[in-house]
Amino acid sequence: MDQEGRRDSAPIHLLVQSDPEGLADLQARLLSLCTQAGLDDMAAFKLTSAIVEALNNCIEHAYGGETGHPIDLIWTKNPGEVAIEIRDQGHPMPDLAADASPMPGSDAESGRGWHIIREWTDSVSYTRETQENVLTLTHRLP
Amino acid sequence: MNLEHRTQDGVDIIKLPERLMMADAADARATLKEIIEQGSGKLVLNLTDTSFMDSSGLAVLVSGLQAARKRDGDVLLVGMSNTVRALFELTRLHTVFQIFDDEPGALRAFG
Repeated sequence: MDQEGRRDSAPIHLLVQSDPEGLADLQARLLSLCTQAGLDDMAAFKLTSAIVEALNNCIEHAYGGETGHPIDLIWTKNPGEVAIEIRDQGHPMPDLAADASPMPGSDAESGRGWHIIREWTDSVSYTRETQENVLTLTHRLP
Repeated sequence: MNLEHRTQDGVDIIKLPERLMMADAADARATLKEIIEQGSGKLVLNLTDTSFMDSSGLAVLVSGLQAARKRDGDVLLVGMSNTVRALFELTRLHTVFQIFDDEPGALRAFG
C-alpha cells in the first residue's frame, strides 16, 4: 500500500486446512505468486520458505497437529512490497510476540522455523484479534 | 514414502524427492533410519531433484546424520541447488554436513 493507501492489486485469499499434505501444493502456488510479484528465484524461494514455516507453526503449535482447522492466507501486493497475513483460530503464542529465540545448535532437530521466518522476511508482526492469531509478514520488492 | 535407494561400494545412496516438507518428514525419517540400521551407516543423499525443503526436512537430515555417526558412519550431501544451499547456510547446517557436487566426489570421500 502506498502513502495514499493504494494497493497494486486485489488481495488474494488462500484458505487452507491445517493439513501438512496440502502444503506441498500451496508451496508451488506461493512460489508462483512470488515470481509474478517480480522476485527472482532465490528471493522467491526465501519468501516461500518463510511462509511455509509460518504455516507449519499454525499446524504444529496453534492447532497442536490436528488436521481440518482453517488457516486463511491473504497475499497483498502493494507498491514496493508484498504483505502476507496468516490467520488461524488455534492457540495463541504464549507471549503474544513472534518468537525471538536464537538459532538452535547445529545438532538440534527442531527450532529453525522462526529463524527462517525472521531472516527471510523484512518484517514480522503477531497479534491476537478476538479468536484469531494474525501473523503478518512483509517482503520488499525489487 | 518411497525413496530411490541403491548401494555402491558399501555406501547407501538415496535420492531425495522434489520436496521434503512436514507431510513427508515422518516417513522419510523412518526410511532413513531403517537404511542406516540395515546398512553400513555410510550414506550419500542426492538432492539433485530437491527444489524445496522446509525445517521439517532439515530435521530429517539431522536425525539421519546423528544415527549414521552413532554407527561411525556419515551422511554426505550431493547435488544441492543454490536455493537449498542458501537454506543450509542460513541454518548453519552447511558446517555440519559435508556437501559435494556429485556422487563420485562423495564416494571418493568415503574412500
